Order: sequence, then structure tokens, then C-alpha cells
Amino acid sequence: MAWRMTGKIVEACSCKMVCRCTLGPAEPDMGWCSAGQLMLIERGNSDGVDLSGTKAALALQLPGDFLGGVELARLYIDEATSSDQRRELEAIFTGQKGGVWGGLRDAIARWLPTEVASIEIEAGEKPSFRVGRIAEGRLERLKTEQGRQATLENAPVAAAFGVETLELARSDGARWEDPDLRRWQAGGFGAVEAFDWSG
Amino acid sequence: MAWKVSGQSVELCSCKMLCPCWLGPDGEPDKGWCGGAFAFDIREGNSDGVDLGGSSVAFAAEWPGNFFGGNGTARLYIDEGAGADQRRELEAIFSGKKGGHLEGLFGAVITKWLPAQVTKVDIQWGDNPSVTVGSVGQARLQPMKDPAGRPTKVQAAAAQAGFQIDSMDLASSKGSRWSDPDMRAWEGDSGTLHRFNWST
Repeated sequence: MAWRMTGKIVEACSCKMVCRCTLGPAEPDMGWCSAGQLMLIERGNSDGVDLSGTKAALALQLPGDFLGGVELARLYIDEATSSDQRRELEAIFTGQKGGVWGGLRDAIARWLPTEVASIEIEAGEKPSFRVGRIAEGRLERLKTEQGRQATLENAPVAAAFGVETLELARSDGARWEDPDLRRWQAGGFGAVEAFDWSG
Repeated sequence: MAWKVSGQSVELCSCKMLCPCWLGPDGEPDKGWCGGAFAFDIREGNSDGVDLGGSSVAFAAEWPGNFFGGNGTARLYIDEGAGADQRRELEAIFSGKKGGHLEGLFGAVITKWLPAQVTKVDIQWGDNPSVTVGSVGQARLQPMKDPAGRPTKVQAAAAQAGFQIDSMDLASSKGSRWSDPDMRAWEGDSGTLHRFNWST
């Protein structure tokens, strides 16, 4: 049951900057919140299966804020992964292998079947993502005129995802159009976050 | 024209937590407009030979849109415990008339200054910081923390650079109110706590 992954998350949601759900309890700007999390796994291993360089994405549909729970979620796994990697990634992200995702298991009411798709994630100076034909976005990092990256640290809800620091980036124009989920366009909130998860 | 002030400050406004104006010109305030206040607890300070240590001053303003869009109306409230010399220097500094970054900042975002008022400006710290400005402003803040008890912070937001504030702790100002008869009355939600160390 041992696994560990380190890497970067690129995130966008339907709320304005800053998504109030990260600071919850709060009312999302639309009353509801839909979010996409793109996981770029730089290093990883799960029970002997190397996960380094794999990619996964998560769509979350919430009727209110995060503390009110997630009503529907779907995991997308990059088509470049092997069947062993897909099995391990699905088990980890749906909470079956413990760790931070195991802790979130009760917060997610229903999982749609996992999909395999082409996933592109760029988490550097010009963050961007694409999930097949379903989702795409380009983010603009928020920086001062002197070039300092704007950050949100120790946000109460981000802690549930094991994230300490959100590097804030505007997500205007990003979209998520899964036919089985509420379609949404980004309200402006976006972030790039480092993770170090294990279970 | 030389001055230096350092201490702790409290900010709150009419937006939900976190006020989008902190993060740049692209965010729209939740109400379309923004009413905000700052209170400065000056621990040490000096302005052209006048000691400002232990004085307090508050600032309130309203903007028709995002803070960066300017066209704001503002007023300073200077604590009644300040002497005449201190009042003169505090008004000059905090309205941007004595140079430094506040001159550029307020020059860009404040169009109209209402006459400064002398009143009681009381700032209390501790677990739940509070600010009382005469009968105009009453604020009580609830600092935000993660489950491990670490303060929730924002660093390097665009408006922080304008105020020269490196880091700020988020604190809900729910239940707070500001009702200057010459400005729009508002109730708080967003709030932040900071340290400042400013000079020309």
C-alpha cells in the first residue's frame, strides 16, 4: 500500500480570484463551484510501479463551497501511461491507497468512471493545461512589478489537499466541458502548487 | 521632509474574503464598489524632529470600482491623544503630502480628500484584533489559520507592493462596520493584518 508522489498542480475554477472555497467556509461566487486540478507527477512510485513523469487530472463539481462536499468527480489519466500506472493512479486519487486522498474520500460523494485522455500540463512561467477535447486553459501568473510571485499560504482548505503554498495565477478563458459534468468557464481563479504526497 | 514610521496595521473592507483589489486591477469588487479602512498603530516614528511613537491614525476610503481604478474619496482620522505637532505631521504623511511611497500611491488612487478628523482611534491586538474609530468605525477581526494553526498569509499581491507591505495575515472582519456620514456606509468581511516600516 506504499506510495509517494511529488510534483506540481495547476488549478483553475469557476470562482473569481481568490476562490473563497480555499478559505472556507464561504459562498462561492457562482453559488456553486466547479474546479479542475491538473497533476504533473515529477517523481512517484506506488508499490513498485514507477509513476515519474505521469499526468492526471481531476474535475470536481461542488453544489456550494468545498466544506459542503463534492457531489461529483472524475479522474482523467494520461493516455501515455501503462496499465499498471493507470491502476495505481486511479487507486491513489480515488482514496483507496490512503494518504491525503484517502482523507478526502468521504468528501467526494460520487465518482464518474475514470477516462483515459491526452493530458498536457505546463507548470512553469506560463502555466497551461489541456485534457483531450474536454478542458483547456492558459494561466497568467500574478506578480508584482518587481517580479515577485503572489502567493497564498496556509489556506485552511488547501491544507486538506496537502498544499501549503498557492502561487496565484489568473485563469480567465479556461474551460471544462465534460458532457457528464456541469460545464464551466474559469472565473479568474487559478494557481500552481507543489505537492509531496504519500500513503 | 524626512519621516519614518513603523508598527502594525489592520485593514478591512466591504468585499468578501479576500478582497480582489489586493491582487490587481483585473478583479471586480464584490459589490461593484469598494469601501475600505486601514488603522495604523505606530510603535516608533519621527517626522522632521517630531516624535510619532505611540500614536495612531486611521484611513477610510471608498472607490467606485477596483482600488487600482482610482477616483477614491478618503478621510484620515487622527487619534485625539496626539499633540498638535504630531497631528500635523501624521496628516501630512498619511495623506501623501510628505513624499515617500504614500505620495505616489494615494496620488494614483485618491481624488478627493475629506477634512481630517481628530477622534479616538483605539487599536487592540491579541487573538482578535479590534479597531474603534470614534463613532464611525468598529472592527473586530478573526485571524484565519490552517488546521495546524499556522496563519493564512498572502505575499507579493499587487496592492501590497503599493503599500510596501511584504506579507499580510488574513483575518475575517465579519460583523465590522464603517459609517462615516460623508461616505458610503459598509460592513466588513475581508480583512488583513500587517507590519509596516516606512520612511522617505
